[in-house]
Amino acid sequence: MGGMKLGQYIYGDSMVHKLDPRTKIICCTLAVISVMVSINWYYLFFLLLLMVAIIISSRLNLKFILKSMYQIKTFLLITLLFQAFLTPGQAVLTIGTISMTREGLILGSINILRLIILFMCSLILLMTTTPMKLSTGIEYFLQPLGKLNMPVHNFTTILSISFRFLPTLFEEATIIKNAQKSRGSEFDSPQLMVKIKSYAAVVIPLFEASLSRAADLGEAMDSRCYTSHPNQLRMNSLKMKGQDVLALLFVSVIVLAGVPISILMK
Amino acid sequence: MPGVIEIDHLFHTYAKGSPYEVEALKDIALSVDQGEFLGLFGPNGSGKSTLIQHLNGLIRPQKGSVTVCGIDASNPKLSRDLWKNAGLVFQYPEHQIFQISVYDEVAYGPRNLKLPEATVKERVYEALQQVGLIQENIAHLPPVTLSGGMRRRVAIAGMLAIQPEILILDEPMAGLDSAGRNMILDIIKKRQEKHETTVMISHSLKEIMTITDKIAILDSGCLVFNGKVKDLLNKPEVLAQYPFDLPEYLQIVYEFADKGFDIKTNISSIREAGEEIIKLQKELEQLRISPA
Amino acid sequence: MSAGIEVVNATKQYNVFALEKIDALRDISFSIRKGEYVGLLGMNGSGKSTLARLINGLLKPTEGKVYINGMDTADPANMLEIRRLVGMVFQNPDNQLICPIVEEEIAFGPENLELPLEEIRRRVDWAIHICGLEEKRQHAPHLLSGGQKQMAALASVLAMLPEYLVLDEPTSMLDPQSRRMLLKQLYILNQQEGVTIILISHNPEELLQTDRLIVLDQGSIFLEGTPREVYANAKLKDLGLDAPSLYQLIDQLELNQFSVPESIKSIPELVKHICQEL
Repeated sequence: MGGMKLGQYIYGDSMVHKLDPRTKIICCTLAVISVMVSINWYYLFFLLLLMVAIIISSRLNLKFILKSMYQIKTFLLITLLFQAFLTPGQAVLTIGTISMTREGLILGSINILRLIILFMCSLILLMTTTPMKLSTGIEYFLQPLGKLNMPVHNFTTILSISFRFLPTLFEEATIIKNAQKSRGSEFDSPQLMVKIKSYAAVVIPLFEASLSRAADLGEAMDSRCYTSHPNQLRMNSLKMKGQDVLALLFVSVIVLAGVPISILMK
Repeated sequence: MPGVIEIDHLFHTYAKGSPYEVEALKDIALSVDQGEFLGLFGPNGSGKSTLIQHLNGLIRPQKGSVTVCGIDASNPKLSRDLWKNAGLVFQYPEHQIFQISVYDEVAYGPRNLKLPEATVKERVYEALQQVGLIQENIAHLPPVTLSGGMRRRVAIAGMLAIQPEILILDEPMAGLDSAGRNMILDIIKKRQEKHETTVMISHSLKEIMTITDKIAILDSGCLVFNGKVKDLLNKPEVLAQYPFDLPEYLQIVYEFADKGFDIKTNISSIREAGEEIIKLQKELEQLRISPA
Repeated sequence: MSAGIEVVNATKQYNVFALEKIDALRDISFSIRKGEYVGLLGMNGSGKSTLARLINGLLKPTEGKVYINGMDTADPANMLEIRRLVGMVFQNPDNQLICPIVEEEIAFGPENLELPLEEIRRRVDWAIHICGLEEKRQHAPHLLSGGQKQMAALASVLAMLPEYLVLDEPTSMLDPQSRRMLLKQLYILNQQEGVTIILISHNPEELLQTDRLIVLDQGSIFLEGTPREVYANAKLKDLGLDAPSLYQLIDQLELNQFSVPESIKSIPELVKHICQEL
C-alpha cells in the first residue's frame, strides 16, 4: 500500500487509456524513431508539447512526472557535459587540455530534450496501459517470430509471469524490510558496511522466497498440463476501433511529414 | 496510571493526495496496561497492520498521538529506537530468516542492540528454550534444513531474544498445526505470568479465548469494539457481524439459546456444553412425566 | 479400466543433500472410489503433501504403483491425461496463480488442453460462476484477498473438468470466513457435481464433512475409517490430535443414552437433531 510508483499503471478512462495496446506500441515506436532522426529544435519542441498535451488529456499527474524527471537530473547533466566536452568545435570554456564547445552544448541540449521526450513517451505508454494489455500487444507483434521457430510463447509466458509477480515482489520486499527494521536493521546508517548488511537481510530472504515461489509455480503449471501454446483468449481480447485508426493516422502524419520537413528546414 | 500503550485520536492516510488515497485509520483511541493481553480482530484491510506498525515506530503518527512505554512515537529521534521496546513479529516470520545458522539468526536482534557477545549468547539460548528448541546442536544448523514450523519458532525466538517490553504478534498461528499453536500459547502464558504485555492479531476467538484479557475490533479503520471478552459475548449484534470463529461449545449453546431453550451460555468447555444438554433433556423429561 | 484411485505399496524416498535417504512415505496402500469425499489428516511433516503429489503424478513413487482410473502414473504416456483427471489446489494462494488476470488464470488449463476458443470461454464462464468470482473476473490476482485467490485457484482447476480434486492444505493460509466458504464449496462440488475430493489438512475440525478419513503419521497410514470411527479411537491422542468438539460431544451424549445418527456431520445438524429429540 505504499505511495505511487513511477511508471505504474494508473486507472483511467481517457481516450489514451482506451486505445488498443498495439496502437500505443506503434505510436510510441514511431515517436521514438522520429525523435532519433530529427535534430530540429522546433520539431522536438513540438513533440515535447504534444507529450505534455497527451499527459494532461489522459489525466496523468503531470506534476508527479516532472518531479520524478527531476530525480534523473544528474544523469541528464552528465549527458550534457560529456557531449559538451567531447564534441569538437568552437571552444567556449577550456579546462586544462579539454574544452567545452558551442556545438557540443547545442548537441547536448538536443539530446537532453530527446531523452525527456522519450521518458515522457514511455511513461504515457506504461501509465495508461495495464501490464496485461501491454504484454498481449508485445506478444502480438512477436507472433511472426514464432513461425521462425523462435520460442516466442515461452518468452511471453515469462513476460506475463513477471508482470503478475512484480507487485507481489514489491509487497514482499516492503514487508521484509519492515520486519528487519523491527529487529534493528539500519537502512539509513551512515556506515556503508552496516547499510550493505541491512540490505543483505532483505535481499537474501527475498531471493529465497522467489526460488521457492518458482518451484511452487512450476508445480502449479505442470499440474495444469502446461504446454507451449499461444494464448487464444488473450489474443482474442484485442480489438482495433475507430479511435485507434485515427490515432495511428495522426501519429503517422506527424512522423512522416514532420521528419522530412524538419530535415529540410535545417 | 497511564498504560504501557496509549493511543489517542490516531488517524492515518496512505498515499495522500494521489488517486490511491486510503484512509487506513480513523480516530483510534486505545490503551493497554502493563501485563495485559490484547487480541486485535478485524477483516482484511481493516487497518490492523497499520495500527501495530505505529507501535514500534515503523509508521509515525500523522495525526493524533501514540505513546509506547512512555515514549512519544511521533518524535523521529525516539521512534527510531522504539523497536527495542516493542517487538513486532510479522506474519509468516519464517520468510524473513536470512542468516546461515539458527544461532546467528536469533542473535541478529541482540547484536543490533550492541550487547556484549556473552550476553548475546545467554539471550539466544534462553530464547531458543522459550520456543521449545532445546535439542543440542540446533543452534548451529542452517535454518534451511528445518521444517516450516521449526523455522517459525526460530523467527519468534529472534524477537524474544531482543527482550522487548511489549511483544506484538501478527497472526502467529497461521498455518501451524496443534503442536505449533500450543507453543505460541505457552509463550504468551509465560509472558502473562511475568506480567509482560502482549498484543496479537488474530482471526479466531477460539484460538485466544483462554488467554485474552481484552479485545479490540477494527473495521475499515474504525475501532468498533474495545473491551473485555465477557462484554463482547454479551453483544450478539457484534458477534453476528464479524466472523469470530467462536469456540464450538459456545456455538452449540448459542444455537440452543437461539431456538428458545433455557440454557446456560457462560460455559468454558465442550464437556460443560454436553452436561447442559443432558440437564436440559432431563428437565424436559421431568416435565413430561409430571405435566402438572 | 477401473474407475477410482488405487495406491499400491507406494514408497517415496527423498535424497537429502545426496547423502541421506529419507522415506517420506513408507509402503502405503489404499483406494478411493469415484464420488467419495476423503480427508487426509496428519501433522506437519507426516507425508501428506508427498502423497498428494503422487496422486497427481507430479511425483512418481520410488517403489509401488499409483493408478488413476487404471492408468499407471509412472507411465509418461498417461501424464497429461492423469493431470487433467486429477486437479490440484495448493496451500499458498499466492504461488499458484500464474496469469496477470483472473479470467486468464482460469483459461490457463483449458488452453493447455488445446480446446476450441468457444469451449474455453464456456468453461471459464462456468468456473467463474460456480466459484462466485464474477466481480473479480478482470482483476489482477494480487488485488484479491487470500480467500478469493484460493477460490480463483479452485476455479482454474475446475475449468479442466477434473474427476478428482486433491487439495493440499488449501485453507491453512485463510481467515476463518474464507475457510468456511471454501469448505462449503467443496461440499457442494462433491454432492452436486459428483467430483471426488481428497482434502488434506492438519486440522480435524476441517474434515468433519468427509466420508472417510486416512490419518498419516511419519509416512505410514496410522488410522483409517469413517470420521466417527477414527475420532472414537483413543490412539489419535498419541499423535497430539484432539477429536473435534462435535465428536467429543456426540461421545458424551451417547454415553448418556442419547443416540446420534451417523449422518450428522456438523454442529447445526446436531443441534437440530437434539431439538427434535427433546
